[in-house]
This record gives sequence, C-alpha cells and structure tokens, in this order.
Amino acid sequence: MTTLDDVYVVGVGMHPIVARGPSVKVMGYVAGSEALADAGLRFDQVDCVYHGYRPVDPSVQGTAVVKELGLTGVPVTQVENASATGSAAFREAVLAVASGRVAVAMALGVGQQGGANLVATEAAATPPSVEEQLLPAAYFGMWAVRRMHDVGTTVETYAAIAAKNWNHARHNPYARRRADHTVTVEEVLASRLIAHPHTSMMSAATGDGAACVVVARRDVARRLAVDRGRPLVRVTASQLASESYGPGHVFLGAVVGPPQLTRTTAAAAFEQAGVGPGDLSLVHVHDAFPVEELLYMETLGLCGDGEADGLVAEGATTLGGRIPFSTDGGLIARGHPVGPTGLAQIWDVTQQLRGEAGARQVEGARLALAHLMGAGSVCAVHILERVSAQGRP
Amino acid sequence: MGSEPPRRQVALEAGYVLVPDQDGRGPALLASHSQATGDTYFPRRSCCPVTFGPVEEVELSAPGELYSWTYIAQRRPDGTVVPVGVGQVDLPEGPRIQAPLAGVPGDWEIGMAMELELTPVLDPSGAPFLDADGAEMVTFGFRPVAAP
Repeated sequence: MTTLDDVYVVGVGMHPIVARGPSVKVMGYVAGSEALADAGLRFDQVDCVYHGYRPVDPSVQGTAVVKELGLTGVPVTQVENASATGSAAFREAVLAVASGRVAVAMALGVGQQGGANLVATEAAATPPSVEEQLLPAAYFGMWAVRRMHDVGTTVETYAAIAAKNWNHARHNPYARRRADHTVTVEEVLASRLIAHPHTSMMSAATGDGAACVVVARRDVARRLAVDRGRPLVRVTASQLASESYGPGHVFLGAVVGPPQLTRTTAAAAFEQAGVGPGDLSLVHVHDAFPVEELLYMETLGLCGDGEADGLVAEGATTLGGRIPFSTDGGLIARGHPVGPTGLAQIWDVTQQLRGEAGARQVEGARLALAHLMGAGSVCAVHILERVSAQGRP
Repeated sequence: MGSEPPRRQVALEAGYVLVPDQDGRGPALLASHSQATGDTYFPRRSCCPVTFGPVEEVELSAPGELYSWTYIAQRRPDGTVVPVGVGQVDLPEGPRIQAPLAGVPGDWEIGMAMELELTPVLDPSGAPFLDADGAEMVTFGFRPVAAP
C-alpha cells in the first residue's frame, strides 16, 4: 500500500449549520472564502475543485456554486457518496495533490433542504418503493436493540453519548444544535421517540450548511504555515471501501454498515499512516445515532468488543477524557447536512491539530481520525497529524 | 348486508415477492442461490456477489428467526402516533431479511420464530394504497408464528 506523501490541509471554513440557510451559492461562498482566507490563498491559486452535495434539488448546480468564488476556469467535479459525500470530496482533493498533478485542491460541500432523510416519521403520500420503506433510522434502531440484547447496553448509555455530543456542540459556533444549558441524560430520554430506542435528541440533526477544506502539496503548505506561525496538518491516510459479503449480510433497505466494513477500512488506514488506534488524540465517526459511537469505538480498535460502554461510563470519550469523540458535536449536535459533514469533521480536526479549537481544544492534540459511512454503503477513513513547519511532529 | 369480497392484491414492486393473486402461488420471497458458494442472496441478483458466476432463482417461504426489531413512531395527519414495526429476520437458507413487522411493541423478542406474510402498504391516513385497477398494494413482511 502506498503511503500518502506531501498532502497538507492549509485552509478550512464553514457556513454555520442552520435549520434553513440562505441559497447554496451564498453558503458555498461563505465556506469557500473562509477556507481561502484561512489558508492565505486566492481562488485563482486553486487548481481543481471537488464539490460534494446530495442532489435532492435539481436546481442545485454544483458548478454554479463554485463560480461564486470566481470564474477561473478551474476544473470542477461533483462528488456524491450519500452521508460520506464530504469525505469523498476531501479524498478526491487529497488524491489529486498526492498524485502530483496539482499543487492546490479544494473540497467544498454544500447541504440544503434538511440534509439526510434518516427518519420518515410520516407515511409517504404516494406508494414508496420497497427500498424506501426501510430507512436508516430503523436500521440503526435494530443495531441498538440487538446490542442491548448481546452486550446489555442501556438506553441511559445511549442518552449519555447524545448528551455528551450536545454539550460538545455548545462550544461550536457553527453547530446546528447549541443548547443554552447543560444537556442531561434525562432530557435526552424525554425527547420524542423516533425509532426505538432512539429519541429525537439522539438522532442526527438535519440542516443546511457548507464546509470547505483546501489541501496543498508540501512546498505551498510550508510557506503558508511559516507565514502564519502555524504547525502543518498532514493527511497521512485516506481509505474508501464498499461492502464485502459476510454472514448475516443485509442487502435490502437502508444499509449503512456492516460494522465489519469499518474494521477493515480503519485497519487499512492505520497501516497506511503507520500508526495505531492507541496513538489517536481525538476521533470523529458517523454518529447519526449513539449506538454507532459504541460500535465504532470497538471496530476502530480503541477497545475490545463489548467494552465501549465502559469507556463511555468513565468519561474517556468526553472532552477532557483520554480519547474524545465528536469534539464539535458530531452528527447529532453539530449536524448532518450531508454534503458538508465529512468536511466539517476535517474542519474540527484541523483546528484541533493546530491548537486553534478554543473551548473545544483537546490538550496536545497530535493525531486524529475522521470516519464516515455512506448508505449503500461505503466507509471513508482519514487520518491527519500535526507536523511542525520545520518538519518535526 | 353481505360482506364485500376481499380486494385483489398486487405487489408494491415486482421482483421481490410472489403474490398469489398475481403469480398463482406464494407468498414467497424471490432470491438467488449460488451453487459455487452455497449461499442464498435476497433480493435477487444478476450474478453471485463473491464469484461473479451464475445464480439460480429460488423461492423462500419457510419461517425464520428474529435477529432484531425496532419500531418507528409514525405520526398520522390527525396527530396520533402509531408504532410501525421493522425487523431483521434470518431465514433457514441463510439470508438476513430487513422488512416490516406485524404486531405492536411487546410482541417481538429476539430469537422468536417469524413467518412471511403479505402486508398492505398504508397511506398517511392508514388506508391501503390501491393501484389503478383498485387492487391493494402489498409488500412482504413478517409476523410472529402463531402458537399451536
């Protein structure tokens, strides 16, 4: 497997995730211009753009969004991979630079019209297809029920994970859900039931928003980092995989898994980066529902099977603990507008590794993993590390 | 007044399940069996997912075992909330089927025997969808095997 050489995140930007946002052009411009300003680059210094969005609205023209940043003739490619759209766009930008054919690549993700349709809490007005009857909320509800049976996980543990993420998002000005008080397990459990045992406060927040990441090769990144007195943020692994067949494989309806897919994709990422799960400072995962955080803790190798509940109970995955998860609020509280989500993860990771995350800062953050799933399904895993501009970690 | 004759039933979507009114037999799930792997896959496929070789069409109707369950808290237009069961059932031939479940919360237990049934697809008011000929649109689902 080839290592990833010479790819660095040089700029990140976001439009806040909100219930109803302005036009996609405005949101894309805000995120893109913020990322360019963060990097210290002009749009005409970008060699290619990967635009991630979920085409629920035919009037959302990806190229039109990118043109708001300027008309430079830059090659634009639309990218879509369900919930992992932003990660897929990031991956393409990373690979474009890693290939040596461009110096600077931009990944821009835009989400509108509420984002992912994980729950259909009202019956369809026209006959749904067989596939449409079985949505992700049910799929993850069944994971949660099965885990309660196999491991003894309680709804209180699920609620505690959700509350943790709500409280992390209080420190994130771009998050969809920003509580003005400390969210408790009781409050989460009392919210409206969506798909047993998950309540609305345990479910990924929909919303509109945008996120942008600019990556560059080493010479460009070093110059920009030295100019700003910042460490470098190097991308050391990028892995994307779809399903392999295994016992109990589910083909029909929402499939956002199986858990084995995370295990193998993450293992490939660790090998590519030359690190192990124990080296991580913080983790982002596809936590549309709390059961996923438990499963990914185990399948990412942070603990043995069945042991994740203990990590949560001891506060290990809360900010301040030894392996914080979803430091920006995750899908539940930062939100899941789909196109931007994977890029929002990199936005937080980059700020963490630079030491610029403010109230969300993980002390001494050095190495981070960002994981997302896309229904269908795919798994995307990226690993990033802090490097001093002089080249030392 | 006499009772109305039961409506004709048609599959919500062709290719997943045999409906007696349409196919003369069933209900049975339409699956694919690979001689090379010995595994059976649902829904039907064009080729074996592991060897890419040929598969043969098979029909599955034997009861299975409930692997997991949940229910969606579905809101009707009049504001009432009804639980809509969804489950994963392991069939004896091997495949794990994700499908609607009949019953209410409390009826379902991991490991219980489940049998295939045809269930009407309901509109927001709770009435079955009908096709252009007035036939009831049905899809496959599972219900707990009745106690003997």
